[in-house]
Amino acid sequence: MNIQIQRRYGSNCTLTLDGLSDRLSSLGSSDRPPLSILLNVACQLPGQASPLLGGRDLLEHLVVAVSSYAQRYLSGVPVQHHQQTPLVSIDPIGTKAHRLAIQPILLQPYQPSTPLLEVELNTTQLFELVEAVDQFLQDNQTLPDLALQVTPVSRREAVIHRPITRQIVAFVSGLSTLAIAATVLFFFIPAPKPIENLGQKITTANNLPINGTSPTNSPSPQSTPSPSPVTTASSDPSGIFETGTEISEPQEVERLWDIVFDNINRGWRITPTFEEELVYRVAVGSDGALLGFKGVNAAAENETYIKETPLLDLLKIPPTGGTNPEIVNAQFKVVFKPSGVLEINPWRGSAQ
Amino acid sequence: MNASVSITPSSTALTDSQTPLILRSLPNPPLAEDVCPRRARQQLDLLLLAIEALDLNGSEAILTMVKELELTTIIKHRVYLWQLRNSNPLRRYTQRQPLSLVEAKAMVAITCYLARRLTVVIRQLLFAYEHLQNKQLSPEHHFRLAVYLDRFRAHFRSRMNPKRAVVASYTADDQKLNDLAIRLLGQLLFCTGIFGMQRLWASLFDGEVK
Repeated sequence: MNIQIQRRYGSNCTLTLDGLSDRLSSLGSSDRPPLSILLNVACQLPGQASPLLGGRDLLEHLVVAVSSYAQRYLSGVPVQHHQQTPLVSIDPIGTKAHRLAIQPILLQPYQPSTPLLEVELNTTQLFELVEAVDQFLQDNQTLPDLALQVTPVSRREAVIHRPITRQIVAFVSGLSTLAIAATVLFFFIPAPKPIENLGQKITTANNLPINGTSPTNSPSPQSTPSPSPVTTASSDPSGIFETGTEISEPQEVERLWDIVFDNINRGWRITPTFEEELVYRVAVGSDGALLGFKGVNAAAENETYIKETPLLDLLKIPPTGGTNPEIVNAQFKVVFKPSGVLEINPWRGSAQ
Repeated sequence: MNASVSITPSSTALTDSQTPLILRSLPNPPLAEDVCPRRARQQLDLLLLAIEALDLNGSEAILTMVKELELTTIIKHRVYLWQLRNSNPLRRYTQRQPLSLVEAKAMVAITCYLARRLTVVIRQLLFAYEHLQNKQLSPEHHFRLAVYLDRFRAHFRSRMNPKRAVVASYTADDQKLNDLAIRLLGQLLFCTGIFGMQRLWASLFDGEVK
């Protein structure tokens, strides 16, 4: 024999569940019988004249949408909808309100002509809804099979909106001294003997004409792929910028962006003596290690200035010998500003 | 419907007998390293900053809460708390030391328990703000809300590094700082909820895990 049960959760926003308990054993005991079969649910939203009515589908979709959005509200990281048109969705309206949308198919009585139901909630109203849902979830005597797992949104699920530019001030202090950005220099870490080669590169660079312009007698780039506007001398022995495989998956670029930002920011300690910004194109491997960089503007190629940046210290020696044009890498535009501001953006799409 | 829905404490957290009981409902996220990402460090410090703006004795209340929740094995003293909060990269005296997961869990617990104590004032201020918004009035029309915003702006300006572009963009614009303060107020409201602690914890790693 089934007994009919009604449970109600929330105060200003309520969820009322009508259902049955199929546990005969619970009869006569002092425990609350479990509500294990849901007949219908009514959700009374704040400021609405009548409650939303539906069945288990409505409850399940509402619970998932509400919980997911509560987490999003805390993190600010939106989640990609698995379905193109989710049956229940909540989205922000600006920064101060939230729109709950429910497909009519979940609602009773269902009429094909019923339009999408949309309700605007302010933050406290949204919280009332979250609390009603959470009270229900916390009650393990009501639909015990339905509980919610709170886990972080994965990189793949997240729709990450970064500020267009990520900036930071490095921990540098003291007086800047006048220096003239003149030397044209290109650094890249070649495999397999990068330390020696690097030294050679610096030596070579020292021999370059100091005239503030790109040398015309330097090895010219074999090809300059879009969107590279690099105007510098471009001997690129391992060819990472020219032929390396560039990572384009946004989540992966995002992850490497964080790593490269942390590494460079942490490593930048020397007070800038340069008076114009240093702009570099930087390639990092899938582990975040710096595989190569090259100056984009003239100041960036000044040897003295390069040594003020942590780029040389951060360069990683590839473990395998020989050049590897297939090195998978992500590329970033790194700008060191005389004020101590570090600015890093993905190379592709950055305004160069 | 997402099939796997269950709010259960992580079994992995339970294996660590060193973890204070109150933190065991917060599972370790699958991160590459067991340290908190930048956004998490920033968010935890800003939420505490908002609590300090709400409560005149906020700084002391944080330390008292450390003792009440028996988290002194993690947050040993005042200076240690200061160091943890300065792991926020926006801070004027930011610390380069990483924020460990257990330290972050302690900060989550403290934030949520303090927010619960401040539930009434948080609700009142948000209600006032929404009411003023509807009437297209500025926050100055509500005394306590204006005091909260003033204090938050002052705390932010005095403690965050003005040389940082992102900080500078806030400090140059009262409205932007007010918006941040209100957003944090709303987030604190969500921290007061039944699963506020679990949600805040998970939210710190949104977009950071595999």
